Amino acid sequence: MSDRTSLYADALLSVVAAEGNVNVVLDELKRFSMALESSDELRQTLADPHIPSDRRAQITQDLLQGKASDTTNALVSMVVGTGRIKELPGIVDRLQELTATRTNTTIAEVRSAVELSDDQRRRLAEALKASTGRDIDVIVVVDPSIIGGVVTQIGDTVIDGSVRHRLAQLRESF
Amino acid sequence: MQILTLLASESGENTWLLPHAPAEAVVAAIASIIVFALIWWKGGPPIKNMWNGRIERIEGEVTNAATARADGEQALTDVRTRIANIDEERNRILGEGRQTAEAVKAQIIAKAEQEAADLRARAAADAESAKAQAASDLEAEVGRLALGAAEEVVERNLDQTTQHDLIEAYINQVAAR
Repeated sequence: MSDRTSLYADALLSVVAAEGNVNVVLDELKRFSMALESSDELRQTLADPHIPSDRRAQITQDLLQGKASDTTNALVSMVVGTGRIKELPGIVDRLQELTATRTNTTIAEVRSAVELSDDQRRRLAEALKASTGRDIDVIVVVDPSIIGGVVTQIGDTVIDGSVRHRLAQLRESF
Repeated sequence: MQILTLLASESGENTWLLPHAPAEAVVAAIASIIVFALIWWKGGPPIKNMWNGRIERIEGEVTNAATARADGEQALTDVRTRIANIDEERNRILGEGRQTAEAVKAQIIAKAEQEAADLRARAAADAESAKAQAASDLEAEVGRLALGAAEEVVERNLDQTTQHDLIEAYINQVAAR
């Protein structure tokens, strides 16, 4: 991980901490980061230096309008404007690590086919804390590719309760 | 002796050949006898041995010739016997040839039958293997199709309630770990 990535993550953490909505912004940034990784076209467009930066920022605002907080929207626009959008996944990962260190918690990246309610999110965090013995900071990403259920990754540990995983197990049994 | 005396009286000049006196003739006769006796005594045995050796050699040659003659006569008899039995020999050779040919023919037929049996067995094994493979492929294909259909059914029936139930089940599963 480059120094620039860490510096960007530090800057984003300062902004997010100042705004006081760390978990929400982290969730949104993680979702956008995943969308960016899964779409070559979006990544190429937002990183294209021939497209004016304000036009690229407009594209991100159109994408995030109504789906993300103003803080997330502004941070993504800033990264797009500086031409570092390809480094956003690394910046977000580093931001997660810094946040976990700062709050003395462990990040649990939770992927669900549908949005989790606040109550489900809280109970899942408590269940993960009871299971791991560590304070857990849950980052939820909606990922329709898992079809149904939930997948949680804490460090190298993966707890896969997705329908896709069960279907894959069924496929392997044939 | 009378001839010598006559020769002496006829020539009138006795130079060297005839004795000049009867005593000389006697002495000459005795000397001749001694010479002949010496020759007989010293030369007789070698001559006798040589003679005996020659006789033995001739006898050996005669014996060898007789043996060779007997061998030749025996060979002649054998040849005559063979000539007399040539038809029998020909029939024997032909018989052996036929037996050999029959044996070779039997070997070739047995080998061909064995190869044919092996080929049939191999073909049967290949057919069984192909059949098993086809059955396995069919089973896998049926499984794949069934799974694909199941996936479609699952995805189509995953409504909000089911999704909620899945999440709740997951939370309970994590809590129970």
